[in-house]
Amino acid sequence: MKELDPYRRYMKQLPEAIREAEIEAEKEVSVSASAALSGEILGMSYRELTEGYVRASGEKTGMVYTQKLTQDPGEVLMQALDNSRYSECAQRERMNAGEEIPDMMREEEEQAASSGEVEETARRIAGELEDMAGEGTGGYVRVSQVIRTISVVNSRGVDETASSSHALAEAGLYGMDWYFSAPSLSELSAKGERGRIERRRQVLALPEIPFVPGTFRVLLDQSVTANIFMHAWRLFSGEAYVSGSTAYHGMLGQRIMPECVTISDQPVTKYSAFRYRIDCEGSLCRETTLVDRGIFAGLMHNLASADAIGERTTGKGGRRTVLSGNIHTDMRVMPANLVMEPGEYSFDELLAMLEDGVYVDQSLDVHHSLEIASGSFTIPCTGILVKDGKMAGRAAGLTMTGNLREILGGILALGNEMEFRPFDLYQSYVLAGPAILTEAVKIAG
Amino acid sequence: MTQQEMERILESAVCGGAEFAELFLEDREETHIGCRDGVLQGMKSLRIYGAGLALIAQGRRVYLHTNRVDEESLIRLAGRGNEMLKAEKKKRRPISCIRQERHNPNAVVMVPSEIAGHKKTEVLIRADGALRGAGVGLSYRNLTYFDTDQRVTVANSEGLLASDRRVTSRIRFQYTIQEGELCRGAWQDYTRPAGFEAFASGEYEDVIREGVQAAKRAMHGKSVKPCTVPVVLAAGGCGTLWHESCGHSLEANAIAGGGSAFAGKLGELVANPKVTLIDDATLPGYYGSNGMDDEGHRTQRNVLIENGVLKGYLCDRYYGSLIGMESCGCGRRQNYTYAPAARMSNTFLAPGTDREEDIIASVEEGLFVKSIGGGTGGAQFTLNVSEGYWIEKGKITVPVSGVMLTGSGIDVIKRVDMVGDRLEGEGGSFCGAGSGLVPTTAFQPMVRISQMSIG
Repeated sequence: MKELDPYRRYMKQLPEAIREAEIEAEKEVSVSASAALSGEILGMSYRELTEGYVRASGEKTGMVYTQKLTQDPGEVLMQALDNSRYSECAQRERMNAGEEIPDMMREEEEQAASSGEVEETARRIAGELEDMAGEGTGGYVRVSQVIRTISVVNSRGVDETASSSHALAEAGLYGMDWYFSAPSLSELSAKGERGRIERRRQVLALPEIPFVPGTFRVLLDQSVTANIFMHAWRLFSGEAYVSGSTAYHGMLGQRIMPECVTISDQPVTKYSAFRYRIDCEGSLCRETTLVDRGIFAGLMHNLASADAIGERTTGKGGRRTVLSGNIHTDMRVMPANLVMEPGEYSFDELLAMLEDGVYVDQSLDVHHSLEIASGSFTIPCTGILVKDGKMAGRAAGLTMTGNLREILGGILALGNEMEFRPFDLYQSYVLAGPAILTEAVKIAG
Repeated sequence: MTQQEMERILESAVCGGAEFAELFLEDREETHIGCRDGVLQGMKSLRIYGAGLALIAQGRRVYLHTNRVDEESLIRLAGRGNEMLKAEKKKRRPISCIRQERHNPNAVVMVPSEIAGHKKTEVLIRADGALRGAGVGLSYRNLTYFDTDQRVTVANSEGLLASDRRVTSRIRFQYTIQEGELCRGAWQDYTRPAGFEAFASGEYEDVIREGVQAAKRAMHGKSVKPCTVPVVLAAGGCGTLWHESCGHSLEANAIAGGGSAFAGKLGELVANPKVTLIDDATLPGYYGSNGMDDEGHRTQRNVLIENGVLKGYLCDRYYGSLIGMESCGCGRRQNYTYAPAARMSNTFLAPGTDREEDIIASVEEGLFVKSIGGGTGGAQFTLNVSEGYWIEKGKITVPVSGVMLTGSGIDVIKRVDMVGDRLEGEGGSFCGAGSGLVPTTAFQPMVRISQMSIG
């Protein structure tokens, strides 16, 4: 990243007052086009943004975040140092001393796609969706080509840059959000969604029926699984574990879920085109098994949480972890591609295993509805009543309540289809998971 | 950036084919200071700096943004935008902007950048003291002080040039209450559209103490069996009901998208005649107020529903044009990285004539909602009751917990059958939607909804 050259020079001759310094820069260039399913282009956008997170340490560490990278690095670093005066932390923040990162992990910055290519892809995907949904179906798709680059340069000799690109489609169809990704625009396709679109059409054709509240055996659609993990990944955060604010606190090494469940966080996965080579601290992002066949096997760590527990970082240092109106400056633990591995059952087989219960097809607002410290949740949702393994009718305005430890601990079977979703708003990490068949969930309506 | 530079960028955009071009420049400074479990985490200075360019031709809009804010980069950006529009090039015409005055209703007494850092940390230490002294066992405390000084300038190809300065102050307090095996995480914001004077009265300490006590009561609240009962929502911040149940559906983007239950209903009775709903960004002292919207349009008072009759929508320039309406000063965005869209500011229900004690007394058995912790809007809305109580025989009794309100906005507002005579404001928070997170308030007098499903 050329913008950092002045910082590179400055890091080699820091003034005496600054013991250590670092700049982490994140650059995103993206081109997007939105199209109606008819193929009409609704709008286009272009983004070119580089953000700098600058840290300077004397006895303690201070920080400056800037989008004005043309500012003199000396002034910015001295401002950061001045800010450190207001820190009462026991010691300065740890900065990465560097580690061997394989050359294959370093990728050159790619060129942004032309607006014509993105527009054409949006039309093609819209056409694919319309073919499956039927002419005249309302809906839209937004297609983006995104190039992201992270650079970490510090006075301890780290100078790492990793760049990755992906193509992403976000569609609104049948009242649901649909996401799919691919390494490039030409590989992006909605055709894999045919089965789910057909199922969604069947669901919407069901009659609305009165709902009697109670405790049910439940099948959670894979979109519900992904939505829950949008927030619930914190259960496996090293930071939350150290502070005692995860419902699985103190349970490392114990069985917390049945044997069919394996959850891991991966830099690269077949379920998503998002790739995470290094984290925001310049550490190699490592594959981390969190739940291994039901056993709580590991935690996601950044440098600080790893130090606190006496382990090595797993390269999960990140900042954009929560929905918020302010710029995220704190270094937190953040997943990359968090994956709950699929099971072996088709949707129809899961319905048959459910027999009588509720198929929860959509969930809303998990960010306000799930409490990580205790695991308790109250999640607004919609559902389908299932009788004798067949969908009988749908009900809106439902709420499911319970505890995640019980739901995940009571998993009976997992589906073989996967949902992929980037984190709402920031798309800084990705969740992927299958449908879950589980025991005893309270549902009100 | 000089006026001449802005004019040349706009000229280039229009000459390249755009029928309309708008440049949005932002330079924002923020300070964040963290305090975790009583330990100051250091100060952070933030600089948000960049430009957004909106181009429209033949009813289509493209939006581009960058933090390379120089004439050459922005002319190049305009060229890329015109490639997207594929509009025909035109003969160059000069654009001459005339500066229009805008008055921000929120006067600033103590500009945050002029306040010494130690004074800000003192506020945070006092806030932490209030949290610790709230009489509740806490296993985790995390407070953050924020101040924001945002300077925006909008120039467009119709010759408008206007600027606004928005200063806000905020403390966020997060904590985990621990009582034996029971624990509960909670958070709340103290927000003010003001400079450092926001902390002079010490009001934030009372807000913190009250917030912690409310969270403790909710932790011990009884669970409620799902049912359909009358629901009374307290005066003040429970106005989130209006924001989520119908505010979002009255935004021009929702109307133009065809998904709103209010589309095509202008002039029709859509709510109980006791309902008059207003959105007003000119109110002094309110978090959603500004001197202008993010398209340079002067802010104004917009009556959305009057005595139950739908009177208007919230319109920005672009989405308003898609439904044949003019902007009413509601084009908002989190920052320059977002294209503007129609958004709420200070949304409130006008006071009615019912006495609060009569509203409570009218309920044989039902739910009293003291505060709402957030929610989602749209055709189906959800609201998380952060503090609620059960009403029995016209009296407020025990606290309840884990209650969520859901419903369809257009149905629920027809069932508002009592409206209190005392309007109460609120501090405000952020609303997240297509153009990012923007400061808003939502408030009301006490209301009764005759029947509502709760769970």
